[in-house]
Amino acid sequence: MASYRRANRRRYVLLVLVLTSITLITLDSRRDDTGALGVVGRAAHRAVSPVDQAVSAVVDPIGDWFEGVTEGGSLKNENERLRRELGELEDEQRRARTALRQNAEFRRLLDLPILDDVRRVTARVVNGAPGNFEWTITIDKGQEREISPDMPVLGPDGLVGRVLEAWEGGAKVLLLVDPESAVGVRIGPQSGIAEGVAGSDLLRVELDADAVVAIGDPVVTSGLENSSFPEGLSVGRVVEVEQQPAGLGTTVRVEPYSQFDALEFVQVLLWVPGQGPVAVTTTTTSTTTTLPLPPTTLPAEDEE
Amino acid sequence: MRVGRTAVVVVLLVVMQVTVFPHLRFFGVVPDLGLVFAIAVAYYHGPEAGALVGFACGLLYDLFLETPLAMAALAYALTAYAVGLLQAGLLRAPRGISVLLGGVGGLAGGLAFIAIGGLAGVSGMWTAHALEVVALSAVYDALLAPAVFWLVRQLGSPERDQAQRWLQR
Repeated sequence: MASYRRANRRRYVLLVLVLTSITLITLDSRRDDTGALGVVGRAAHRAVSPVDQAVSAVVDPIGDWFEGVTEGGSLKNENERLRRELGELEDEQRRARTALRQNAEFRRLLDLPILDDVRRVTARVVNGAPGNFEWTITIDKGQEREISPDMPVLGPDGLVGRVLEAWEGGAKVLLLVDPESAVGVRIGPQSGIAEGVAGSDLLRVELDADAVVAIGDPVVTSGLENSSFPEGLSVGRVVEVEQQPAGLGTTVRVEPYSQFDALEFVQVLLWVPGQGPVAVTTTTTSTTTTLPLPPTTLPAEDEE
Repeated sequence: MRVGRTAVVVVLLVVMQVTVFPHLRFFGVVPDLGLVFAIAVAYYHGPEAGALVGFACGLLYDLFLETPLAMAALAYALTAYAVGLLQAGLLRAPRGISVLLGGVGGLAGGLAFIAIGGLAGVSGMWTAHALEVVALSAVYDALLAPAVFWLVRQLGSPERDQAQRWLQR
Protein backbone atom coordinates (compact mmCIF):
# COMPACT_ATOMS: atom_id res chain seq x y z
CA MET A 1 0.00 0.00 0.00
CA ALA A 2 2.78 2.37 1.02
CA SER A 3 4.80 1.66 -2.11
CA TYR A 4 1.74 2.26 -4.28
CA ARG A 5 1.26 5.68 -2.63
CA ARG A 6 4.96 6.42 -3.06
CA ALA A 7 4.90 5.64 -6.78
CA ASN A 8 1.85 7.82 -7.19
CA ARG A 9 3.40 10.74 -5.37
CA ARG A 10 6.56 10.46 -7.47
CA ARG A 11 4.57 10.63 -10.66
CA TYR A 12 2.58 13.57 -9.34
CA VAL A 13 5.70 15.59 -8.53
CA LEU A 14 6.73 15.77 -12.18
CA LEU A 15 3.16 16.20 -13.40
CA VAL A 16 2.51 19.13 -11.03
CA LEU A 17 5.81 20.80 -12.02
CA VAL A 18 5.07 20.44 -15.74
CA LEU A 19 1.52 21.74 -15.41
CA THR A 20 2.65 24.68 -13.23
CA SER A 21 5.33 25.56 -15.77
CA ILE A 22 2.95 25.44 -18.72
CA THR A 23 0.42 27.59 -16.84
CA LEU A 24 3.08 30.18 -15.96
CA ILE A 25 4.50 30.26 -19.50
CA THR A 26 0.99 30.89 -20.81
CA LEU A 27 0.11 33.46 -18.15
CA ASP A 28 3.35 35.39 -18.22
CA SER A 29 2.30 38.94 -18.75
CA ARG A 30 5.55 40.60 -17.74
CA ARG A 31 5.79 42.21 -21.17
CA ASP A 32 2.91 44.55 -20.33
CA ASP A 33 4.80 45.33 -17.12
CA THR A 34 1.72 45.70 -14.94
CA GLY A 35 0.87 42.07 -14.05
CA ALA A 36 1.72 40.38 -10.78
CA LEU A 37 4.58 38.53 -12.47
CA GLY A 38 6.03 41.87 -13.58
CA VAL A 39 6.04 43.08 -9.97
CA VAL A 40 7.87 39.92 -8.85
CA GLY A 41 10.40 40.32 -11.68
CA ARG A 42 11.13 43.93 -10.76
CA ALA A 43 11.47 43.01 -7.07
CA ALA A 44 14.00 40.30 -8.00
CA HIS A 45 16.00 42.78 -10.09
CA ARG A 46 15.92 45.36 -7.31
CA ALA A 47 17.15 42.78 -4.79
CA VAL A 48 20.07 41.76 -7.00
CA SER A 49 21.00 45.30 -8.15
CA PRO A 50 23.50 46.02 -5.32
CA VAL A 51 25.29 42.70 -5.98
CA ASP A 52 25.34 43.48 -9.70
CA GLN A 53 26.95 46.86 -9.09
CA ALA A 54 29.44 45.47 -6.59
CA VAL A 55 30.50 42.66 -8.96
CA SER A 56 30.83 45.14 -11.81
CA ALA A 57 33.00 47.45 -9.66
CA VAL A 58 35.35 44.52 -8.90
CA VAL A 59 35.35 42.76 -12.28
CA ASP A 60 35.54 45.69 -14.71
CA PRO A 61 38.96 47.01 -13.57
CA ILE A 62 40.37 43.46 -13.74
CA GLY A 63 39.03 43.09 -17.30
CA ASP A 64 40.50 46.48 -18.25
CA TRP A 65 43.88 45.46 -16.81
CA PHE A 66 43.93 42.21 -18.80
CA GLU A 67 42.96 44.11 -21.92
CA GLY A 68 45.79 46.57 -21.27
CA VAL A 69 48.32 43.74 -20.88
CA THR A 70 47.21 41.74 -23.91
CA GLU A 71 46.56 44.63 -26.28
CA GLY A 72 49.34 47.03 -25.21
CA GLY A 73 51.24 46.71 -28.49
CA SER A 74 48.36 47.50 -30.76
CA LEU A 75 47.31 50.48 -28.63
CA LYS A 76 50.23 52.59 -29.85
CA ASN A 77 49.32 52.13 -33.50
CA GLU A 78 45.67 52.71 -32.70
CA ASN A 79 46.57 55.92 -30.89
CA GLU A 80 48.40 57.27 -33.94
CA ARG A 81 45.53 56.35 -36.24
CA LEU A 82 43.01 57.99 -33.91
CA ARG A 83 45.04 61.21 -33.74
CA ARG A 84 45.03 61.40 -37.55
CA GLU A 85 41.32 60.76 -37.66
CA LEU A 86 40.68 63.34 -34.96
CA GLY A 87 42.17 66.12 -37.08
CA GLU A 88 39.92 65.24 -40.01
CA LEU A 89 36.86 64.91 -37.81
CA GLU A 90 37.32 68.24 -36.07
CA ASP A 91 36.81 70.07 -39.33
CA GLU A 92 33.78 67.96 -40.14
CA GLN A 93 32.33 68.56 -36.71
CA ARG A 94 32.59 72.34 -37.07
CA ARG A 95 30.51 72.14 -40.23
CA ALA A 96 28.09 69.71 -38.59
CA ARG A 97 27.59 72.03 -35.60
CA THR A 98 26.65 74.88 -37.90
CA ALA A 99 24.19 72.65 -39.74
CA LEU A 100 22.70 71.43 -36.45
CA ARG A 101 22.25 74.97 -35.17
CA GLN A 102 20.52 75.96 -38.37
CA ASN A 103 18.39 72.85 -38.23
CA ALA A 104 17.30 73.63 -34.66
CA GLU A 105 16.41 77.19 -35.64
CA PHE A 106 14.30 75.99 -38.54
CA ARG A 107 12.56 73.40 -36.37
CA ARG A 108 11.75 76.07 -33.78
CA LEU A 109 10.33 78.27 -36.52
CA LEU A 110 8.19 75.37 -37.74
CA ASP A 111 7.21 74.41 -34.16
CA LEU A 112 8.66 70.88 -34.48
CA PRO A 113 10.17 69.00 -31.49
CA ILE A 114 13.92 69.40 -31.04
CA LEU A 115 15.95 66.46 -29.78
CA ASP A 116 18.38 68.68 -27.87
CA ASP A 117 15.50 69.80 -25.66
CA VAL A 118 14.84 66.25 -24.43
CA ARG A 119 16.34 65.57 -21.01
CA ARG A 120 18.87 62.74 -20.73
CA VAL A 121 19.98 60.58 -17.82
CA THR A 122 23.52 59.25 -17.95
CA ALA A 123 23.90 55.73 -16.57
CA ARG A 124 26.73 53.23 -16.13
CA VAL A 125 26.50 49.82 -17.74
CA VAL A 126 26.84 47.28 -14.92
CA ASN A 127 26.12 43.96 -16.59
CA GLY A 128 25.48 42.14 -19.83
CA ALA A 129 22.69 39.70 -20.61
CA PRO A 130 22.02 37.12 -17.87
CA GLY A 131 21.17 34.41 -20.41
CA ASN A 132 22.29 33.11 -23.79
CA PHE A 133 19.21 34.02 -25.77
CA GLU A 134 18.90 37.72 -25.23
CA TRP A 135 20.99 40.75 -26.11
CA THR A 136 20.54 43.17 -23.23
CA ILE A 137 22.54 45.31 -20.83
CA THR A 138 21.74 46.37 -17.27
CA ILE A 139 22.32 49.99 -16.24
CA ASP A 140 22.57 51.53 -12.77
CA LYS A 141 19.75 54.11 -13.03
CA GLY A 142 16.06 53.32 -13.05
CA GLN A 143 12.66 54.44 -11.83
CA GLU A 144 14.17 56.88 -9.31
CA ARG A 145 15.46 58.91 -12.28
CA GLU A 146 12.13 58.77 -14.16
CA ILE A 147 13.34 56.03 -16.50
CA SER A 148 10.46 53.92 -17.76
CA PRO A 149 10.01 51.14 -20.36
CA ASP A 150 10.40 51.97 -24.07
CA MET A 151 12.60 55.04 -23.60
CA PRO A 152 15.40 55.29 -26.20
CA VAL A 153 18.96 54.64 -25.03
CA LEU A 154 21.96 56.23 -26.73
CA GLY A 155 25.66 55.45 -26.60
CA PRO A 156 28.58 57.62 -27.66
CA ASP A 157 28.28 56.43 -31.27
CA GLY A 158 24.54 56.25 -31.77
CA LEU A 159 21.35 54.46 -30.80
CA VAL A 160 21.87 51.48 -28.46
CA GLY A 161 18.30 50.26 -27.93
CA ARG A 162 15.33 50.88 -25.69
CA VAL A 163 14.49 50.39 -22.02
CA LEU A 164 12.78 47.06 -21.46
CA GLU A 165 12.04 47.30 -17.76
CA ALA A 166 13.00 49.69 -15.00
CA TRP A 167 13.10 49.31 -11.24
CA GLU A 168 14.47 51.37 -8.34
CA GLY A 169 18.23 51.51 -8.92
CA GLY A 170 18.47 50.00 -12.37
CA ALA A 171 16.99 49.22 -15.74
CA LYS A 172 17.37 46.62 -18.46
CA VAL A 173 18.01 47.78 -22.01
CA LEU A 174 17.13 45.72 -25.09
CA LEU A 175 19.94 46.15 -27.62
CA LEU A 176 19.23 46.79 -31.31
CA VAL A 177 20.70 43.39 -32.24
CA ASP A 178 18.20 41.38 -30.14
CA PRO A 179 15.78 39.45 -32.39
CA GLU A 180 12.89 41.04 -30.46
CA SER A 181 14.13 44.54 -31.31
CA ALA A 182 12.47 46.47 -34.17
CA VAL A 183 13.24 50.10 -34.96
CA GLY A 184 11.53 52.27 -37.57
CA VAL A 185 14.34 53.66 -39.74
CA ARG A 186 14.91 55.86 -42.74
CA ILE A 187 17.54 55.12 -45.39
CA GLY A 188 17.59 58.01 -47.81
CA PRO A 189 13.98 58.55 -48.92
CA GLN A 190 12.88 55.00 -47.93
CA SER A 191 11.59 53.92 -44.56
CA GLY A 192 11.49 50.44 -43.10
CA ILE A 193 11.94 48.43 -39.91
CA ALA A 194 15.44 47.48 -38.73
CA GLU A 195 15.21 44.15 -36.93
CA GLY A 196 17.79 42.22 -34.93
CA VAL A 197 18.80 38.78 -36.15
CA ALA A 198 19.73 36.05 -33.63
CA GLY A 199 23.49 35.61 -33.50
CA SER A 200 24.27 38.37 -36.01
CA ASP A 201 25.91 41.74 -35.37
CA LEU A 202 23.96 43.26 -38.25
CA LEU A 203 20.37 44.50 -38.45
CA ARG A 204 18.06 43.52 -41.29
CA VAL A 205 15.77 45.94 -43.14
CA GLU A 206 13.32 44.77 -45.81
CA LEU A 207 12.61 47.41 -48.46
CA ASP A 208 10.70 47.53 -51.76
CA ALA A 209 12.31 46.02 -54.85
CA ASP A 210 12.82 49.45 -56.41
CA ALA A 211 14.47 50.97 -53.31
CA VAL A 212 17.58 53.01 -54.04
CA VAL A 213 20.17 52.05 -51.43
CA ALA A 214 23.96 52.11 -51.59
CA ILE A 215 26.55 50.59 -49.31
CA GLY A 216 27.63 53.19 -46.75
CA ASP A 217 24.26 54.99 -46.66
CA PRO A 218 23.48 56.32 -43.17
CA VAL A 219 20.50 54.83 -41.33
CA VAL A 220 18.54 56.99 -38.88
CA THR A 221 15.35 56.53 -36.88
CA SER A 222 12.27 57.54 -38.85
CA GLY A 223 10.20 58.72 -35.87
CA LEU A 224 6.98 57.81 -37.63
CA GLU A 225 3.74 57.78 -35.62
CA ASN A 226 3.74 55.35 -32.64
CA SER A 227 7.47 54.80 -33.04
CA SER A 228 9.46 54.10 -29.87
CA PHE A 229 12.12 56.56 -31.02
CA PRO A 230 12.17 60.21 -31.92
CA GLU A 231 13.21 61.10 -35.43
CA GLY A 232 16.81 61.43 -36.54
CA LEU A 233 18.82 59.25 -34.10
CA SER A 234 21.83 57.64 -35.76
CA VAL A 235 21.44 53.87 -36.01
CA GLY A 236 24.20 52.66 -38.32
CA ARG A 237 25.26 52.36 -41.94
CA VAL A 238 24.34 50.05 -44.79
CA VAL A 239 26.94 47.31 -45.34
CA GLU A 240 25.09 44.90 -47.62
CA VAL A 241 22.31 45.26 -50.19
CA GLU A 242 20.72 42.16 -51.62
CA GLN A 243 18.01 42.13 -54.30
CA GLN A 244 15.55 39.30 -53.74
CA PRO A 245 14.79 37.19 -56.81
CA ALA A 246 11.61 37.88 -58.83
CA GLY A 247 11.34 41.44 -57.56
CA LEU A 248 10.27 40.37 -54.08
CA GLY A 249 12.11 43.20 -52.40
CA THR A 250 15.49 44.38 -51.22
CA THR A 251 17.16 43.07 -48.07
CA VAL A 252 19.52 45.58 -46.51
CA ARG A 253 22.02 44.73 -43.75
CA VAL A 254 22.89 47.55 -41.39
CA GLU A 255 25.93 47.70 -39.13
CA PRO A 256 25.03 49.62 -35.96
CA TYR A 257 27.39 52.47 -35.05
CA SER A 258 27.29 51.40 -31.40
CA GLN A 259 29.93 48.97 -30.17
CA PHE A 260 27.73 47.00 -27.79
CA ASP A 261 30.59 45.06 -26.17
CA ALA A 262 32.50 48.21 -25.30
CA LEU A 263 29.69 50.29 -23.80
CA GLU A 264 30.54 51.75 -20.40
CA PHE A 265 28.13 54.66 -20.18
CA VAL A 266 24.85 55.30 -21.96
CA GLN A 267 22.26 58.05 -21.95
CA VAL A 268 18.56 57.41 -21.58
CA LEU A 269 16.38 59.93 -23.41
CA LEU A 270 13.45 60.85 -21.18
CA TRP A 271 11.11 60.45 -24.10
CA VAL A 272 7.88 58.49 -23.93
CA PRO A 273 6.73 56.97 -27.24
CA GLY A 274 3.59 58.67 -28.48
CA GLN A 275 3.85 61.44 -25.87
CA GLY A 276 7.26 62.99 -26.45
CA PRO A 277 9.65 64.41 -23.86
CA VAL A 278 8.98 63.87 -20.14
CA ALA A 279 8.04 67.17 -18.51
CA VAL A 280 10.30 68.50 -15.76
CA THR A 281 8.86 67.93 -12.30
CA THR A 282 9.75 69.95 -9.23
CA THR A 283 11.11 66.92 -7.38
CA THR A 284 13.83 66.18 -9.89
CA THR A 285 16.06 69.17 -10.16
CA SER A 286 19.33 67.35 -10.68
CA THR A 287 18.32 64.45 -12.90
CA THR A 288 19.11 66.13 -16.15
CA THR A 289 22.48 66.03 -17.73
CA THR A 290 23.66 68.55 -20.23
CA LEU A 291 26.40 66.46 -21.83
CA PRO A 292 26.40 67.26 -25.49
CA LEU A 293 26.06 63.88 -27.19
CA PRO A 294 26.36 63.46 -30.93
CA PRO A 295 23.73 60.89 -31.87
CA THR A 296 21.47 63.37 -33.53
CA THR A 297 21.75 63.16 -37.29
CA LEU A 298 25.30 64.04 -38.11
CA PRO A 299 26.49 64.02 -41.68
CA ALA A 300 27.85 60.58 -42.49
CA GLU A 301 31.37 60.00 -43.78
CA ASP A 302 30.29 59.94 -47.39
CA GLU A 303 28.22 63.10 -47.28
CA GLU A 304 29.71 66.38 -48.31
CA MET B 1 20.13 16.61 1.70
CA ARG B 2 19.00 19.43 3.96
CA VAL B 3 16.12 21.37 2.43
CA GLY B 4 16.95 24.71 4.08
CA ARG B 5 20.61 24.56 3.12
CA THR B 6 19.73 23.53 -0.42
CA ALA B 7 17.34 26.49 -0.75
CA VAL B 8 20.11 28.89 0.29
CA VAL B 9 22.49 27.32 -2.24
CA VAL B 10 19.84 27.59 -4.99
CA VAL B 11 19.45 31.33 -4.34
CA LEU B 12 23.22 31.87 -4.20
CA LEU B 13 23.78 29.96 -7.45
CA VAL B 14 21.12 31.95 -9.30
CA VAL B 15 22.51 35.25 -7.98
CA MET B 16 25.98 34.16 -9.19
CA GLN B 17 24.50 33.12 -12.53
CA VAL B 18 22.96 36.56 -13.18
CA THR B 19 25.64 38.79 -11.64
CA VAL B 20 29.03 37.06 -12.00
CA PHE B 21 28.79 34.78 -15.03
CA PRO B 22 27.71 37.44 -17.57
CA HIS B 23 31.23 38.84 -16.96
CA LEU B 24 32.79 35.37 -17.41
CA ARG B 25 31.48 34.43 -20.83
CA PHE B 26 33.22 31.54 -22.58
CA PHE B 27 33.09 31.96 -26.38
CA GLY B 28 30.24 34.39 -25.77
CA VAL B 29 28.03 32.07 -23.72
CA VAL B 30 27.14 31.71 -20.04
CA PRO B 31 26.72 28.29 -18.38
CA ASP B 32 23.49 26.98 -16.84
CA LEU B 33 24.64 26.73 -13.25
CA GLY B 34 21.17 25.90 -11.91
CA LEU B 35 20.74 23.13 -14.45
CA VAL B 36 24.04 21.49 -13.49
CA PHE B 37 23.06 21.76 -9.81
CA ALA B 38 19.70 20.09 -10.50
CA ILE B 39 21.45 17.33 -12.49
CA ALA B 40 23.82 16.70 -9.58
CA VAL B 41 20.90 16.59 -7.12
CA ALA B 42 19.09 14.14 -9.42
CA TYR B 43 22.22 11.99 -9.60
CA TYR B 44 22.68 11.76 -5.83
CA HIS B 45 19.08 12.03 -4.58
CA GLY B 46 16.82 10.70 -7.35
CA PRO B 47 14.63 12.08 -10.12
CA GLU B 48 11.96 13.79 -7.98
CA ALA B 49 14.41 15.74 -5.82
CA GLY B 50 16.26 16.71 -9.02
CA ALA B 51 13.07 17.86 -10.72
CA LEU B 52 12.00 19.96 -7.69
CA VAL B 53 15.41 21.61 -7.37
CA GLY B 54 15.57 22.12 -11.16
CA PHE B 55 12.17 23.77 -11.13
CA ALA B 56 13.21 26.10 -8.28
CA CYS B 57 16.54 27.05 -9.90
CA GLY B 58 14.92 27.56 -13.29
CA LEU B 59 12.04 29.64 -11.97
CA LEU B 60 14.35 31.98 -10.04
CA TYR B 61 16.57 32.34 -13.11
CA ASP B 62 13.48 32.99 -15.26
CA LEU B 63 12.74 36.12 -13.21
CA PHE B 64 15.84 37.69 -14.76
CA LEU B 65 15.31 36.52 -18.33
CA GLU B 66 13.19 38.06 -21.05
CA THR B 67 11.86 34.69 -22.21
CA PRO B 68 8.44 33.71 -20.74
CA LEU B 69 8.50 32.86 -17.04
CA ALA B 70 8.93 29.12 -16.23
CA MET B 71 10.63 28.23 -19.52
CA ALA B 72 13.92 27.45 -17.82
CA ALA B 73 12.01 25.91 -14.87
CA LEU B 74 10.31 23.40 -17.16
CA ALA B 75 13.49 22.61 -19.12
CA TYR B 76 15.57 22.12 -15.95
CA ALA B 77 12.90 20.00 -14.18
CA LEU B 78 12.46 17.66 -17.17
CA THR B 79 16.22 17.28 -17.71
CA ALA B 80 16.96 16.60 -14.04
CA TYR B 81 14.14 14.05 -13.87
CA ALA B 82 15.53 12.24 -16.92
CA VAL B 83 19.05 12.23 -15.44
CA GLY B 84 17.66 10.82 -12.19
CA LEU B 85 15.95 7.98 -14.05
CA LEU B 86 19.13 7.31 -16.01
CA GLN B 87 21.18 7.19 -12.82
CA ALA B 88 18.85 4.57 -11.33
CA GLY B 89 19.83 2.29 -14.23
CA LEU B 90 23.57 2.71 -13.64
CA LEU B 91 25.22 -0.26 -11.94
CA ARG B 92 28.33 1.66 -10.93
CA ALA B 93 29.53 5.20 -11.41
CA PRO B 94 32.26 5.44 -14.06
CA ARG B 95 35.13 7.88 -13.58
CA GLY B 96 34.35 11.38 -14.75
CA ILE B 97 30.61 10.85 -14.43
CA SER B 98 30.10 14.46 -13.31
CA VAL B 99 31.73 15.89 -16.45
CA LEU B 100 29.76 13.49 -18.63
CA LEU B 101 26.42 14.23 -16.96
CA GLY B 102 27.15 17.97 -16.88
CA GLY B 103 27.84 17.97 -20.62
CA VAL B 104 25.07 15.61 -21.75
CA GLY B 105 22.57 17.09 -19.28
CA GLY B 106 23.59 20.62 -20.29
CA LEU B 107 23.01 19.74 -23.93
CA ALA B 108 19.64 18.10 -23.21
CA GLY B 109 18.54 20.99 -20.99
CA GLY B 110 19.59 23.57 -23.59
CA LEU B 111 17.76 21.71 -26.35
CA ALA B 112 14.66 21.44 -24.13
CA PHE B 113 14.87 25.19 -23.48
CA ILE B 114 14.99 26.18 -27.16
CA ALA B 115 12.31 23.60 -28.05
CA ILE B 116 9.94 25.06 -25.42
CA GLY B 117 10.92 28.60 -26.48
CA GLY B 118 10.10 27.83 -30.10
CA LEU B 119 6.70 26.43 -29.06
CA ALA B 120 6.05 29.52 -26.92
CA GLY B 121 6.79 31.73 -29.94
CA VAL B 122 10.07 33.29 -28.75
CA SER B 123 12.13 34.68 -31.68
CA GLY B 124 15.49 33.20 -32.56
CA MET B 125 14.98 29.85 -30.80
CA TRP B 126 14.79 27.38 -33.65
CA THR B 127 17.93 28.57 -35.42
CA ALA B 128 21.41 27.22 -36.14
CA HIS B 129 22.79 29.93 -33.87
CA ALA B 130 20.70 28.66 -30.94
CA LEU B 131 22.08 25.13 -31.45
CA GLU B 132 25.62 26.50 -31.46
CA VAL B 133 24.95 28.40 -28.22
CA VAL B 134 23.49 25.27 -26.58
CA ALA B 135 26.53 23.19 -27.58
CA LEU B 136 29.03 25.77 -26.25
CA SER B 137 27.02 26.21 -23.08
CA ALA B 138 27.02 22.41 -22.55
CA VAL B 139 30.84 22.41 -22.73
CA TYR B 140 30.92 25.16 -20.09
CA ASP B 141 28.46 23.14 -17.96
CA ALA B 142 30.69 20.05 -18.24
CA LEU B 143 33.72 22.06 -17.04
CA LEU B 144 31.84 23.38 -14.01
CA ALA B 145 30.14 20.07 -13.18
CA PRO B 146 32.86 18.54 -10.92
CA ALA B 147 32.69 21.56 -8.59
CA VAL B 148 28.88 21.53 -8.54
CA PHE B 149 28.72 17.76 -7.89
CA TRP B 150 31.17 18.25 -5.02
CA LEU B 151 28.90 21.00 -3.65
CA VAL B 152 25.86 18.68 -3.72
CA ARG B 153 27.84 15.98 -1.86
CA GLN B 154 28.57 18.55 0.88
CA LEU B 155 24.84 19.20 1.32
CA GLY B 156 24.30 15.82 2.96
CA SER B 157 24.22 12.13 2.27
CA PRO B 158 21.17 10.28 0.93
CA GLU B 159 20.62 8.53 4.29
CA ARG B 160 19.70 11.82 5.89
CA ASP B 161 17.70 12.91 2.92
CA GLN B 162 14.69 14.97 3.99
CA ALA B 163 13.33 15.28 0.47
CA GLN B 164 13.54 11.54 -0.06
CA ARG B 165 11.83 10.86 3.29
CA TRP B 166 8.98 13.15 2.31
CA LEU B 167 8.60 11.36 -1.00
CA GLN B 168 8.68 7.92 0.63
CA ARG B 169 6.17 8.67 3.37
